Amino acid sequence: MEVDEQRVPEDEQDKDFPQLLPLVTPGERIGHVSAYRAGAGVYERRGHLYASKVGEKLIEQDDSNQLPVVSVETAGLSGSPSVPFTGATVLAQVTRISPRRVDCIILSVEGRPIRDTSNPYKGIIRLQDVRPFEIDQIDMLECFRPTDIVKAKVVSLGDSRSFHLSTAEQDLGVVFAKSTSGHPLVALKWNEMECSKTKEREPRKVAKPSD
Amino acid sequence: MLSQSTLSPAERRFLEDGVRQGFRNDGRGLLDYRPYTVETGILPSTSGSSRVRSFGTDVLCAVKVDMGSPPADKPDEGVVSVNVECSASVAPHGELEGGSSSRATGRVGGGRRDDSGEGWSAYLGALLDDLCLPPCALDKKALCVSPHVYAWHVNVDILLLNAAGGVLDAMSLAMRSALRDTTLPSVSVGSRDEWEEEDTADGVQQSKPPFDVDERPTAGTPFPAQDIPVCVTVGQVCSHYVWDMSSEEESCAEAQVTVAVDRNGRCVAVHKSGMASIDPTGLLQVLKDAGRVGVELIKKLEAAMAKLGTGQPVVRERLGFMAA
Amino acid sequence: MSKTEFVSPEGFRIDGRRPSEIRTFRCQVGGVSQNADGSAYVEMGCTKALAYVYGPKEARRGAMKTQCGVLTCEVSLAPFSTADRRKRSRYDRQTVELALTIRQAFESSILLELYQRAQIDMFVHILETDGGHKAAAINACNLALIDAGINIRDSLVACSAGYIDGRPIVDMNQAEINAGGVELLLGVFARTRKVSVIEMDSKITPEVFQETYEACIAACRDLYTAMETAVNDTALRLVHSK
Repeated sequence: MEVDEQRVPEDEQDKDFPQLLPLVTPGERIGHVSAYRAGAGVYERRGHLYASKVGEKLIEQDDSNQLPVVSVETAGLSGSPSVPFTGATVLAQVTRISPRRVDCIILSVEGRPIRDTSNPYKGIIRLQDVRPFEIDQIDMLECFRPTDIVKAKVVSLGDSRSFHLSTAEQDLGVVFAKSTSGHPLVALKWNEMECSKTKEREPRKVAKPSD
Repeated sequence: MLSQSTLSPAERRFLEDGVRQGFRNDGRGLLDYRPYTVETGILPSTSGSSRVRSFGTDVLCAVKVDMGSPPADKPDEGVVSVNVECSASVAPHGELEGGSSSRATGRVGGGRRDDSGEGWSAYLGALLDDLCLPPCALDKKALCVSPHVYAWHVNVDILLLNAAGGVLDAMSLAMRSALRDTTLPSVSVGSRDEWEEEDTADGVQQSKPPFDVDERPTAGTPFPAQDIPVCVTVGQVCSHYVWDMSSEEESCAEAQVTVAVDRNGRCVAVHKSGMASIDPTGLLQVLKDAGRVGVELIKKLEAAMAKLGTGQPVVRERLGFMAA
Repeated sequence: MSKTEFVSPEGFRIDGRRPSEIRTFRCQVGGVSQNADGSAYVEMGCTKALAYVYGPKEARRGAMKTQCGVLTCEVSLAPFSTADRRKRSRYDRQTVELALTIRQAFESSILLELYQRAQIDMFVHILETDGGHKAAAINACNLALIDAGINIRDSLVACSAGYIDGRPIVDMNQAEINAGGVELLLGVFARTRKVSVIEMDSKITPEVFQETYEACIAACRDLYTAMETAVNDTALRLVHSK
């Protein structure tokens, strides 16, 4: 039996705390599941939607068939650190190459750098996630090299040790690498880069540069 | 040293190139100091306290005095001890970083002992003790109340709230201002015929006279050490000497020299850290300059503290200058 | 039996407050630390507490949980915080107990299901104790979590209360605690008023408990009003500065 709910009905809670300002605080009721869907910074309990962060209330309608999404945009009080989630675009640095997988360390998530470098998130790119075609003919050493910076997408949370990343799209792959002579490589084709100084060509799985 | 920033090779090169041309990332010259903010009397339950802030570095210092017995080998002196603690903002504690395995073996911080907060705290505490509390700076005899019987035990606790370069400098300033802010309560010790028998911890009978402490702040005497030296840290970056470094500059410095200077510009103690070696002629120049800078720092600190006066707890004074 | 009157016949306590009045509450949300993801500083009268929050970040291998996040808490009482200076180790019973209380309280507050395989660390430094340091620690952690943008169900507000001279008094200072008597610590969710922390170790009648409990809840409400104002001010300032 939920004793507390009987003692303080939902309406009563708002009476004690009239909304003074455009910002919402955690625990504030902001809607009902019949009117909105919960977005980021919002949680649902017993049919009502509550804020779980401090910030501005945002209501977005993506298409007319579904209910609008209500979310709480963090006012950025101190900047929240980023956790890789499925579908996020990450920048990772390659640490180790094996014939069937590439190990890397995740450096930034959706453009936000990871500040705590003592215990970084690890990711792996499996053979089948490097590119979508000719999977059986992939040679890992021709796609990546250690210390390359790679743009990848998080496919799944993977196992307890690392996230599963994928570069199987045109704009994913190596964004920055150093040649064997130590100078930066410039992208030429989807599978080739050229050293800026010595003009030597090296094979990589290159990300399509955004214009 | 405690460097909080990780720099990429490009950033490092940028910083070093700037230093070679006499400029730093924040626009200062190599000899320019950042302003300090000093507050005293912020912790009412202590005998003396101060907080020193300088663009990120934040140090809190608290002094507590207690009546105890003088040390057996120096029966006419008091005891002063410094204890440094790094807050979780500076170094999240070793237990969480090292993992549970380190607890089983009884070691703190596991293999990364040099990075754990406790290692740094002990190192800084010992360093500060050597630099700022040498016998010539502190008259411990004045801390003795009754030889062989009673003496003041002074505990200086420093809490490092934020480290952004120049940590030792800030800590020495904090200690100096906190001790200036400290008053020793006036004590009257009972006469010989009032001595009471008392059992000490060893079970040995020892007679101790009763003592009366006058807790009123106006009845106390100021702490008898008005010239605690101030630390001035210089770093060597690409054979140039950089003063009052930020944390990025500290991580680029190959070597660092910390000089403890008293109000007459005399060098009381020197400590060198870092892997590189320093050229002797350069070092001599550094010592001379450190003397001048230290005197300036002390003069400004004294001027600010004189303006503060007593009985005004939270009044701030900006302390800033340029070392020419 | 102490001869001191803790509540005068006119209804004033030794520091001039009324029995249901909390001490001056000052806080700073954010801007206290450069490294931590969230930080806060709380002053309740003379009691001062600092809290830092790190996270969410990758959990340590041994502690990682796949269904929800891991919360850790570490408390440090500064040697100069109490009247008698005492250097406490991190494994001191009092500090470990307080850390456990705080951790359990916030495990019910943070939406840990959103932080699978991640870890959130809370650190508390108590700079000065004049009674109510546990409540100050909890309030500081709450503000630091808000500052870090961690998803929480509701704000957790804590306050202490006692019963002296036949009346319940809230937010006791050290002198009032030393008089003996009840010391009740309550940690309450601000809006739902669900109790997350309750600590008391005295022998009292249920009627006395009821009075003290209700007085404490009312005090928590007052505290929350002060806290919310501070949080809103900081957030508004940041929104406008963008």
